[in-house]
Amino acid sequence: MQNMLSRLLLPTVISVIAFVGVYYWQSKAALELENPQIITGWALGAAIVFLLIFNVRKRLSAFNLGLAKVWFALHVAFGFLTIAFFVIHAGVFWPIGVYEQLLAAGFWLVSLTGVFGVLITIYFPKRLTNTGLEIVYENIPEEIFSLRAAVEDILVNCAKECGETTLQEHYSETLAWYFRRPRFYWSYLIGSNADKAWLTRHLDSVRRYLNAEEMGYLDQIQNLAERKSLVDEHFARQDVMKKWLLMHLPLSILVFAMSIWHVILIYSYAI
Amino acid sequence: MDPVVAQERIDRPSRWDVAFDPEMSDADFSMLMGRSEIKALDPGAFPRSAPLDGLVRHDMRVNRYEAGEIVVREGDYGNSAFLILEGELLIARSPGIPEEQLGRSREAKRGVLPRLKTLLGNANIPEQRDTDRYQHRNAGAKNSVTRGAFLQDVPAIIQEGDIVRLAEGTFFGELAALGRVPRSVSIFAEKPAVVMEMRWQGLRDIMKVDRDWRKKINDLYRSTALDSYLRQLPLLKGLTEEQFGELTNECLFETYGGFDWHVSFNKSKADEPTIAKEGDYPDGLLVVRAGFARVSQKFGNGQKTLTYLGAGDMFGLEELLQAWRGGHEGEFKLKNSISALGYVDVIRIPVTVLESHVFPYIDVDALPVTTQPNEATLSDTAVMEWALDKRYMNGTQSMVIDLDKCMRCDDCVRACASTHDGNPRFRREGEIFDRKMVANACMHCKDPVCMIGCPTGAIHRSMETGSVLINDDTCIGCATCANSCPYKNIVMVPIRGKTGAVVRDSAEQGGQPIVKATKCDLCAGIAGGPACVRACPHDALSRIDFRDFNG
Repeated sequence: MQNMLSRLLLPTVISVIAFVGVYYWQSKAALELENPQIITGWALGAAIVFLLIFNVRKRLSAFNLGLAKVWFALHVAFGFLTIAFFVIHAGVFWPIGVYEQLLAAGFWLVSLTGVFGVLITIYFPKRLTNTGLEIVYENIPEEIFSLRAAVEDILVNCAKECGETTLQEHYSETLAWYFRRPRFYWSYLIGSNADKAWLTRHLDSVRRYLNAEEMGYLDQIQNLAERKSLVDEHFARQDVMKKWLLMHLPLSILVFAMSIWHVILIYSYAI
Repeated sequence: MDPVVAQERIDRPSRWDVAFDPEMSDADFSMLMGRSEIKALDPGAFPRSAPLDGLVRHDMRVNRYEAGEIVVREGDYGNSAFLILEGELLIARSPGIPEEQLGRSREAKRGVLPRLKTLLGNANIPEQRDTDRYQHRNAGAKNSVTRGAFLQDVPAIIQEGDIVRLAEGTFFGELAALGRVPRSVSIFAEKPAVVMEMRWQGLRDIMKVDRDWRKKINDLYRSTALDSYLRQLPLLKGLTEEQFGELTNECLFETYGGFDWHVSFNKSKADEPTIAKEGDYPDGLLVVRAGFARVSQKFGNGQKTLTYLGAGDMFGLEELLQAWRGGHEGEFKLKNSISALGYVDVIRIPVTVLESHVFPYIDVDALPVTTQPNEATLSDTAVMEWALDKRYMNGTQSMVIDLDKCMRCDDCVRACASTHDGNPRFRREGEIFDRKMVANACMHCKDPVCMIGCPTGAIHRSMETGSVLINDDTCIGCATCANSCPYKNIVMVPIRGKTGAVVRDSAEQGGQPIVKATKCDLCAGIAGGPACVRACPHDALSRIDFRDFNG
């Protein structure tokens, strides 16, 4: 966090200076009875273009276009600067025209997803590290499959060794649901303990019907369930970490395209 | 994809597809075969896969040096050894040859067009190769990058420097070739000279077969290593040539652990032979020449690691100085133990030599302390214990990911893939300690054991940077390097031809896919350093020397 703040310091100072400069310029233009929105509009356009260039830089890995961490810090600081430019350009009131309403909605959605991205950048990686497990997102289905296979092996062994089917029946009625796929998605995202409560309830409910030998098998299943819980947390958080960009990026390209049309309309009919 | 595109077949690459000198004349070949050093070898003792005449034809070459031409440069990483056939060569020992006169070559940078191609190329077909170049790879392989550099003022260098003359029949260069370390001196020709240069793979094969060669090279290796190394030690800088000569005669060159330590390490049996034990009498100063050693102290029922030593580090100096200053009154024992982490070369300077030739003539107060007081808690040292057990001290460019910052976005993986034939050269997986992950990326080891078994020398050190690279043209896909790497950081991949189909060998050879070894090359030839580091937006990924990781 401290590291990120120090990286943001200089871009933030640049952003503040840019904002003060543009604000002063457009105020002066307003006093001189010129159209200040021309100034704020082009400042906003320039900021949007700069934000989009970050994605271009990502695709040009073979060229030395500077460190992505510097680009990211600039992207975050200039993102907030863009919001400030938008506010002085469009005002705080909701626009009237349909096209302007769509453009404003798109802009605020991009901004919100951007801020969300910054928040999860700060918060989610640490939560994943604290699980003590590291797993590549694409390997999660395979991991869940192997956990399920391990549990079912334990159940088969339990039936063979103990000659009882209590655990198997309980598994097929309740626990099988848990091991079938990632569960408690939203619970992990908001940091609740719903998964642990659910597991405790369904594992404890069968204990009174098991003998000591079967209890040993249940303990093995509990260990696997606890690992599955960690895998599920990874799935939920990594899923969001990957998918938020799938909203942010296409929306930002859409807003950029709409902005171009907005500029054409303004210069064709309003100026 | 394969069934619908045209199959592409090439001959399976083999060790001697690319000779060291593809244009070696028959006269040179006969001359080499007629040399007493070669004639002494028994051709019948060599295996059919690597016969003696094959070794001479493919792993040796005859270099004719002009007056003033540089043969080897100090600091370069070399993969070959030399035998002087005619004339003599000169070693410029001290002060050496000025850096600007060494004419070091710079690695070629990748041009704009090939880099643009990474954007435009078909990203869905990874590891695509122009297989024509494998069929014509003999061309242009003759001159190594050391050739063609001439000294401007040879008489001045001879007049000003400490020169050693190497006569006809002298063997040299084996230290860098076998030890995987940089050349320790620069050698040049004062007058025209003829020199046989031998790839280290060939040298290794001859040493395997012939006991005399083995003994000769091993003895030479030890004496050369000892002499050249002792001269670099700050502790011995003030000695006269006479004192130095006596010191060299008394010093012992010791080796602990196997050169191929990775074999037992890969079998999860990490050997760690003890060099000196806590409580023993310190009979000499131990100086690490190559490899690594663990310094530890008894703690509870185990050993607590205090630090590790690498090349140039010393062990036992404090105890020896204490004994010398105190006039050997009282009982002096080693405070710590030292053991070999895999493989280590140690020079033992006996206590008698130190007390007669070294301690009286140096400022002992200015000497560095070898081990720090042991005040760290077990939690503090846990990272060191973990890293040494995993042998990560070997890495000079380990990829370390701070998981508290990593968004798992795989920008690093994509950047790597886009600069390397559409296939990343590392895996974002690996051993984790606390919040740091050492990812499965080539660490460009100080001691790259992956190079040991390579039959063609395809895996080599960059002369300029020392990083470990694979020459795709000469890799025959034998997977020896991949199996040797203790960290599993080399991956064998099937290659695809221009059509996108997996390239296979001919039906007579079995029709099997042609594979090549791939690994991180630190984005050699691309300005700005490794793409993975440049691509990480969250400052989570870094390439570090293990000493920095530990610190």
